Amino acid sequence: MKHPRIEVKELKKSFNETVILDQINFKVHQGESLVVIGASGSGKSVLTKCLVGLLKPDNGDIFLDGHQLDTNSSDGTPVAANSISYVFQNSALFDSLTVIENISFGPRFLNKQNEKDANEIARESMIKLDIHPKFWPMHPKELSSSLRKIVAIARALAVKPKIIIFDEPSTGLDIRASHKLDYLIRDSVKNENITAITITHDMNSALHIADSIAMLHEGKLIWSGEPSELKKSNHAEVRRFIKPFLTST
Amino acid sequence: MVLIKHIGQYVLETLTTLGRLVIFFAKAIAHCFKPPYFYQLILKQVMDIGYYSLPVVGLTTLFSGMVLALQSYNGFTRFSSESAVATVVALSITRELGPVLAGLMVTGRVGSSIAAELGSMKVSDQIDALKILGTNPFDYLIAPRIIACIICLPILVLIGDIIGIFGGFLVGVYKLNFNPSTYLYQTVSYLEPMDIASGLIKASIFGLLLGMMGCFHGYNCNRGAKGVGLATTNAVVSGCILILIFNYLVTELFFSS
Repeated sequence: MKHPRIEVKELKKSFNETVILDQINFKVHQGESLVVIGASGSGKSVLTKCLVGLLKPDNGDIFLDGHQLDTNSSDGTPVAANSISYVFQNSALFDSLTVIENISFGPRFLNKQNEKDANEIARESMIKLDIHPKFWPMHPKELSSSLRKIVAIARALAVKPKIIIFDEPSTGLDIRASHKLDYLIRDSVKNENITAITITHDMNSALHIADSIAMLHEGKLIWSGEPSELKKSNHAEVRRFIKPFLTST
Repeated sequence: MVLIKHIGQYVLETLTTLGRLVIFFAKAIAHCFKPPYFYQLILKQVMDIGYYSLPVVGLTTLFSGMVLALQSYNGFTRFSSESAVATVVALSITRELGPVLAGLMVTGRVGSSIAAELGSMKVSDQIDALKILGTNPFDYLIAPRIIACIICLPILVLIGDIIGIFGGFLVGVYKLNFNPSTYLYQTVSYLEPMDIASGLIKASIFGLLLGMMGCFHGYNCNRGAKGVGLATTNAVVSGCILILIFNYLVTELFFSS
């Protein structure tokens, strides 16, 4: 039997006395795109930070291709860094490096390529994502916010991950840039056959990107299913969350 | 009851910070000796910390040497010991003023910038991004800065010593009418290698302290612009205080007998 690409079982995380994630269970298969929706403070970012290894869960297991991930890293870097890439909400590009250096960073230091090969991978990645060569030697502060997001996606894809996590990719972008980014995420995931987990509270983006949707509310996974089923859900919290979207469309 | 609660809370917070500092210190030192080494980053930090601090350290020690010559001349005339001016300037600069002034000035310039740089990286998730790209921040960010501080401070102090003594020489010869060769002879004849060496050892320790404080406060800074500002202030204040405390301890170690 083929294992899911990533499977989460009974995941729990608290800060001090406050429970942020409570008994989270889900699985995502290869090439599938899961979108996690939920209001601010529902635990979405904490969930993805647990998945990528930036936070240590209090309880529960994470399986990658059927193998349990050890959440205790010996040297401070996430154990799944080779398999899971992360696109931060604010892009988190390195200010001191140029666009090409940002993108070649992963191949060079994570995948241990030499500088020439890493730069070649970065070039390929930038061409795939239509990043014009005039931007390659620029620093992140010289780029627009949508271009910074695209560079962040290129950086995440350059390490050839099995799973890529997008944290609020459309935040701070206008509708056009947001749509462009949705297409880019969808195409990147399908073309590379990567598993994607996207956090968003933008329902338009969610429906465009998702193969399946899960909703978090107060740290609990209260609903999951296909995008087409979401509007039919009778769950009170789900209806409350999607109501503004339903009235606007 | 409320007072006891507040005291207890304060003691606990202080002990927690102290514990975190000790763990951070141990990790940072371990990563200074453990590969991978990012030589280009160390070189860049040496330029930023050492080369660009030269004007600040040079000016500070130059004017301190000049003032010291004037003040000691005014004091020593009361005991008819004007001839000791050159020796006092040389000893004061090499043993104390050079390392302490350079340490404090570099803390103000570099300690604050390290804290601000690391703090803004933390706030904008760049440190988390480093971890996700398989790079330990202690290797990539902390160790190069601390190594550069330890290397640069003694070099800056050595240059500062020469400039400070030269400042004393300028005032001694052109203002107080000392004979230049006599002044130089007085400077060199009573200066022992240990005077210079102790200053350089102090400088290395000060470099470690200011680098460590900058990195610790920047790396552990709270979210938001206020957090970065606070980290910068704390880095400078704690760096300066530690430099003054360790100055006494090292002086006691070298010269108490």
